[in-house]
Amino acid sequence: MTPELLMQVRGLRKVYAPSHWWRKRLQFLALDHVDLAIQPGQTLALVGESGCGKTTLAMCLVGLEQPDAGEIWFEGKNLLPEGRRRKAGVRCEIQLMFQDSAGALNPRMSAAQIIEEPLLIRQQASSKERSELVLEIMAQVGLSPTWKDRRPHQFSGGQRQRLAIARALVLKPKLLILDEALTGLDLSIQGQIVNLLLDLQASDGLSYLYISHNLELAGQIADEIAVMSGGRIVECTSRSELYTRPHHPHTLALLASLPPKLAYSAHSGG
Amino acid sequence: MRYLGLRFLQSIFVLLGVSLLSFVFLELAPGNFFDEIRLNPQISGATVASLKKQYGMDQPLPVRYFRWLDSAAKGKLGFSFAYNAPVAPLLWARARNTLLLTASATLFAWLVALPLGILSAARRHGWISHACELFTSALLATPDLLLALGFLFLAVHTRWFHAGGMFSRESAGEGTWALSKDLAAHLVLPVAVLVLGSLPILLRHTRAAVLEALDSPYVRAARGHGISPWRILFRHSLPAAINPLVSLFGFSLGSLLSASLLTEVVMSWPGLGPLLLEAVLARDIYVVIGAVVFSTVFLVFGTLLADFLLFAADPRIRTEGVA
Repeated sequence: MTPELLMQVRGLRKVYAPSHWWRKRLQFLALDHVDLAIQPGQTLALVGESGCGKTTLAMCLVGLEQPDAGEIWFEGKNLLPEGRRRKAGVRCEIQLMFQDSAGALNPRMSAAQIIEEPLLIRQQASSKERSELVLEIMAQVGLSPTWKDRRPHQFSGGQRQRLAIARALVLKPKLLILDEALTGLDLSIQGQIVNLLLDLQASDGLSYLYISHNLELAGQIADEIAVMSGGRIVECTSRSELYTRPHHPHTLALLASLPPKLAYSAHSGG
Repeated sequence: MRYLGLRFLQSIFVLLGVSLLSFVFLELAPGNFFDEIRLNPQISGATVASLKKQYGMDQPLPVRYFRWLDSAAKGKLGFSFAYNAPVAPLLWARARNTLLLTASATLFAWLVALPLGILSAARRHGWISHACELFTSALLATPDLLLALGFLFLAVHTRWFHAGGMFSRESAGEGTWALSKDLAAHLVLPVAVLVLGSLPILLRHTRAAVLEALDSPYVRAARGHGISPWRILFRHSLPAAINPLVSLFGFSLGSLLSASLLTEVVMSWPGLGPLLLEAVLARDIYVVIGAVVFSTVFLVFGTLLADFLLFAADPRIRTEGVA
């Protein structure tokens, strides 16, 4: 693989074949020969309609799903060695943030416990170091350390989103996959979270894979945009390229669905 | 605390209501204890009338109800015509046997259901899961009565177990150890019937609750952050699955007195079941009412305990209660 890439995905394929022991069901091709490349410190947006395989791709990248074929290279390491199951160790550097931040936080745990939990799997830090790290990361995402004993339902939607970001960041990942992470938030909170993500990218050199069905927001934060349809990547270009010279009919359809004014401002580099 | 106090008050009203309703319904039922006596030509009408007067059965219903309440407050729960004795000690002696039976059955049923349910949820497509499903479906379709009769048949033909009763005649007057050994041998069959009868429901509830917790978004998120499967099962899924199970546990505590009535009659276990059956047949109404109120006390106590346990187990209920 090219050395300067953070992650490269080649020919990834995933077939869902839910079958019982007494019968086989129809197969569903969720990912069909997907190729992706993510540069360090950059943002790749993955845009596509519901059910086109975006979330399946995210699951395969963090290791929640086992792809049926293809390669995932991360920092020069093959994450899918032939004939062996993937280990959990690499996942520290690749973290995933889910769409439903309220549901993704265990309602029985306090904010500090939630953020601390990924640290437990490493088991390198002492409990004192861990709690210091938790407070540090809470401050970084803009949550007051005095809230550490609150439970998720005592936070607002935007704060819960910050909590989810804090949990994803506590292991110091190099790649953060945001699966519809901004969907369903109101505009001002969306803006806050986008700013937070951009700040973190500037300070820590994080890379993002931003997954969304919303081309508008993707245009604001991504350096490159990949358009996905029916389990395939149909187009992958830089942001300006996509808005000025879209190739695939599906991209055209997505662009046409934007409100005209917004399409213009995104076009003009906003 | 205020919540628990309210619940306590509520339960007292439930008990009053249940006792009143049992009075009214038994009054509505045709026939009474003295009709049976009147059928005997050797007893004159005057004797029956004086007996009725002696037991206060010539009074109208409200008077009898308040007299019964008075006797219940004194811990007697009325007077049995057939046994010619206060009801409470009579019931208590039988209830102890019933409790011994049902408590051990409940304990064993939970001990089997919890690990099996968790295991079959954690390996949802594994063979254990499928075997459990098949097994519980078969058990659900089998009436307890058939199970009990089948076990009796087995016991009589193989002579491996004691069929019926609580103690053998030979063990009378022996030491405590020999007595408890004999008791345990007699317990095996009725306990087995009760465990098999309640296992499908407990097992399926456990499996469903754990499965639901395992499918929740935060468990998926935890998995995505690389938390180990064991920690996910015990730290994330089980606490979330515990709520419906605690309620179910309260219910199974509540039905301790009434769950085994049928099995006791069939297996001739000297518990509340046979006593209640005789009392109903003989229209010995205070024994019936006493037994009903007794099992209601258990039901109310069981649900109260379940509420308390929920309160203790779920931090969300606690914090909302305080705020």
